[in-house]
Amino acid sequence: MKTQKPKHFRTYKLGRVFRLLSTIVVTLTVQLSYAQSCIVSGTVQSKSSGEALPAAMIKNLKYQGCFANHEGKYQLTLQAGIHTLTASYFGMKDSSIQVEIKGDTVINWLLNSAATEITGVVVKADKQIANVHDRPSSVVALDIAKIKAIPVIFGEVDVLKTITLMPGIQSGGEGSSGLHVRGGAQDHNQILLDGAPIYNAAHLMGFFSVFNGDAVKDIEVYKGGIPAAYGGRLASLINVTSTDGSMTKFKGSGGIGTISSRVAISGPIIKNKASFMLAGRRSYADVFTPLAKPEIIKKSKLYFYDLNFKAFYQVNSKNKIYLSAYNGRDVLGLGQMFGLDWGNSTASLRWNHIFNEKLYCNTTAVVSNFNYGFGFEFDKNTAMKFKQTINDISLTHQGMWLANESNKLTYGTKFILHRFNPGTFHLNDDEMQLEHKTALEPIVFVEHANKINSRINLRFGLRAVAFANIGGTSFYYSRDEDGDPNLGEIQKEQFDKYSISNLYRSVEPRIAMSVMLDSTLSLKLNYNKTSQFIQQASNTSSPFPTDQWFSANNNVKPQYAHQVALGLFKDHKYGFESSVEIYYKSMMNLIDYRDGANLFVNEHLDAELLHGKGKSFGAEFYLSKTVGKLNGFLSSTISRSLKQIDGINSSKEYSTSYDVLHNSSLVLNYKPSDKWSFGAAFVLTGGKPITIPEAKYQFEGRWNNHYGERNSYRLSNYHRLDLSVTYKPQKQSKRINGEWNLSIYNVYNRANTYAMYFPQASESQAERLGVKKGETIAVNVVLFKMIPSLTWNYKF
Amino acid sequence: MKIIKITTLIAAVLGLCSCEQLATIDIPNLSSSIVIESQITTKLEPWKVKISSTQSFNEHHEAETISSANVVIHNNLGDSVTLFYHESGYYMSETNRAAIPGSIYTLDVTYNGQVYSATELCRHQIPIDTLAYYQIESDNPFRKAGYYVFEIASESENTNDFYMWKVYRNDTFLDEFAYLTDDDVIMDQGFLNTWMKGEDIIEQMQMGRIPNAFPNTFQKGDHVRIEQFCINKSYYQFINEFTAQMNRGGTPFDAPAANPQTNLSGGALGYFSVVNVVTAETHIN
Repeated sequence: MKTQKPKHFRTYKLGRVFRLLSTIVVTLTVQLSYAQSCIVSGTVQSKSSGEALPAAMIKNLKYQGCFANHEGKYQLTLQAGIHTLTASYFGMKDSSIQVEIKGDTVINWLLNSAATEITGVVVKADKQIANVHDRPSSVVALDIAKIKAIPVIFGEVDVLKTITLMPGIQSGGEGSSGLHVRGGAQDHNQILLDGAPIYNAAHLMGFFSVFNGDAVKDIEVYKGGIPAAYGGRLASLINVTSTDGSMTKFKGSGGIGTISSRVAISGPIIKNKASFMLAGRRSYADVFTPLAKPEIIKKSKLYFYDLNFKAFYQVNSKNKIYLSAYNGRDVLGLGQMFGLDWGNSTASLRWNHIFNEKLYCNTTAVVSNFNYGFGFEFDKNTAMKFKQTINDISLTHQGMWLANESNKLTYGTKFILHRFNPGTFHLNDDEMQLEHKTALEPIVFVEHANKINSRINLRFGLRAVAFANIGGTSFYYSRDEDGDPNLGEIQKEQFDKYSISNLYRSVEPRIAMSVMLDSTLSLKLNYNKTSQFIQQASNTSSPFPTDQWFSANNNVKPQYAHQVALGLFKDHKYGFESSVEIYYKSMMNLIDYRDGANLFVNEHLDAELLHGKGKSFGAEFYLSKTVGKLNGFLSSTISRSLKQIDGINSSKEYSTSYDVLHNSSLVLNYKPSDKWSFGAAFVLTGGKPITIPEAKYQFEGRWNNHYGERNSYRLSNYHRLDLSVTYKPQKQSKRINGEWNLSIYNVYNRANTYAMYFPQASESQAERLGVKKGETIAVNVVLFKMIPSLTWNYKF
Repeated sequence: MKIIKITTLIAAVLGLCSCEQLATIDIPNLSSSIVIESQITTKLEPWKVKISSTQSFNEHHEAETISSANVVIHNNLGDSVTLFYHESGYYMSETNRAAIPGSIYTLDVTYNGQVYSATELCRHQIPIDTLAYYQIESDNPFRKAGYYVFEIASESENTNDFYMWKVYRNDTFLDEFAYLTDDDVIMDQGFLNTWMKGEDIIEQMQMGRIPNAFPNTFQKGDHVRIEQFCINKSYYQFINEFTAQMNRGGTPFDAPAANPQTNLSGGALGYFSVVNVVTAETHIN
């Protein structure tokens, strides 16, 4: 019998990290101060709403240009002389100006809306240079107009489902909002809404994401090459930005759909100085349940809602304040007898301060809460309730020094306080409380973006993270020969409320480089190390809101990943662009539960965990046409995702449940006129691995399956075609502009396998499937076949 | 566990929009494995071991039994009992035997030159203080109308114990819920009656609280017999894993497909359990 002795972690020499960072900063400062240039900088905003226009492009006639950042700010370096500069943005009219550049110049742009509203994907041809020039590799960026043009299930615009059409991003399953990015697990994705973490991004068990299409401006997914300012998850950063409020006039939008309805309003609080945006969405299946005859359905609850709020205040030319808040919840229930609900609440407050044209900073405070609960009540005196929560509080200071067009320095620090309530259990008047867990995660980061010459761009940085438990109890388990914990021999170490234990640290290099091979071809390379200190493990086939988040501790080591990616990006004639990227990722300290683990109100959850490693690799192909009435993209991924966990599958390497070999999408949009637009999306995905029985046996009169190696068999390919048509009546009311959208999900009614299982046929199965009762059979579960949906969208 | 009820309910909601189809998969025929099932108890009765073999997934007949194995059960007190082949794969001791609480038992099966072994402790048991019942007059989402039987017992504090029950109606074993098991992880006292404190059950019932009862429904006139088994944790886990696999239904909430962890060596399937059993009876009036 092995006894695990308490470990005392050596004090980490943080001084070494700071010395390293200081050296980098000093080196960069020396280099930056020697650079000379003529800088043109400013902002790009919508004239009608005052909204910042991220990714707006500013260029001259020689295609020397750049894109605005998230706040609509841009900066480019030009030779002194006369230039014709053009600013362009999706859905806006181009604006041009001829200007003589003699020195550093500020030009602010106010763009008008295009003459006609665009609902399809129409991207200006000029924007094509982003593919080879400016867009970092391993990044997917979509604005909401592009997302809205793609048909989706139940007609609900869903940013998370839409990004699964892009290379390297795989859906968690039919109808799921879950994502697997480059062979990572679902909890390996950092999902941020205006900088605040969203711990569970799913409504209705994953059929919808928590992001209301009317409240989202754009989404950006980093599959690799993650900037040093971000981290905390192994696989990806998914950055969702909510819509800014209009600075000039009140306006609104919304829609009435099959499942839910939504509305968003925005307008100035003080014209051109302060604005707000308020959006809400609610499903309404429960509105009809009182009409049902069965009492149980009459009393049932089944709904979700979202509320988004965003406010902006320009204090003066150098100070801006942004406030963003979100609250969303799912509620399922049967009267007073049973209830299950879960939801996220977040708020972020950001102060943007401009020291001068070259130096500005953002200071952001964030609070985030995710909780779920469920309960039973047989009668008023016999009740049980359970609740679990995770809270994050963070403070970030991030500075940016735009030394010149060739050199940009980003630096900052962040402190995150994680607070976990693993479970509060009420049984009538009694309460059982599992010990709260607290952890601190301080971070410093620095990153230098350097345009070495006209052909080579380099971005390199470091992120140093420490993680420690604060107070609480550490448990040490002895294990028997089979690795099972001996719960009778648990050793405890109790820490004072504010003392630090289980200190871990990680220094994460981040490197991204692009080399222009010619004016239409670039080679891009990135490498990053990522660390994950909080994780979620599930002992069901798919993640569930009740799956518990927990932090690294003395038994659970942080997870680490190294990823390298190399890509070729090419622009072609007629608005076509293409890319090929290959990647390799290795992951350490991955976790899984022992088979049959008890996760419910279990103080010794750590003892149920198994540990191992994983790797993923693949190639991603992308071809898009961004110009013309007919446009769209084709994406394809060939990949593997493998895991090795001691104690699972005889400790041999096996396919993860999301190890699909290929994943392709073809999306087309056709807009023949302002009245009509058409969309089509075809998806083809390789079969997911499953575990199948090799034989069966009888035990105490009951048949059961004897399974072979884990995930050694693959389901058949998944494919479907979705179509949509949007009709915009030409005669519109003066106040409200509306359009009808008809979407058909899975047009040819393909019976895709959602899951497969192997029961002894029940009486009803025997009758339904034409087999004998008790016969062992393989059953495909099909979730959705063809689903039409009609939505009316409006703007005012 | 109650979490199962939640997932069942949500699975039912999912079921509203899903459908099932028969699938054809190519499963290779592998060589069969030995399956050993045996449970010896503290009751005085013949000890039995059943030995059979696995069969191909696509075959649909009774399990093939093995009749040529050597079967011995011995304990740490030096007692050794040989079991002889009887019929239908069963090997039996020649005399009635009873396991002794606190003793450790080992089963050795030798077949085709391979030895398959398992060892288990016979645990101590707690008495059933009371077996009582109450009536639910009309159906609710959790229970049908009828009489429900519950037990009151004082479970030891600060122990990690695991239990299994068998319920009989008029001497007929009721197996519609497969295995009934529970542990004392959530409430260390009143382990079965997780809805209330372990003491003063009757008083709490007078306040309107309902004890957690066995799931079987009874009618007036039924004779009810409960067998309570104190089992080892490994057997408890085996039963729960076995049940979880049996209940896989193609929902996202299924346990990952995996074989229950057996205590038998040599690659045998099944389980050798040693259980301490107590019995209580009541009549529904």
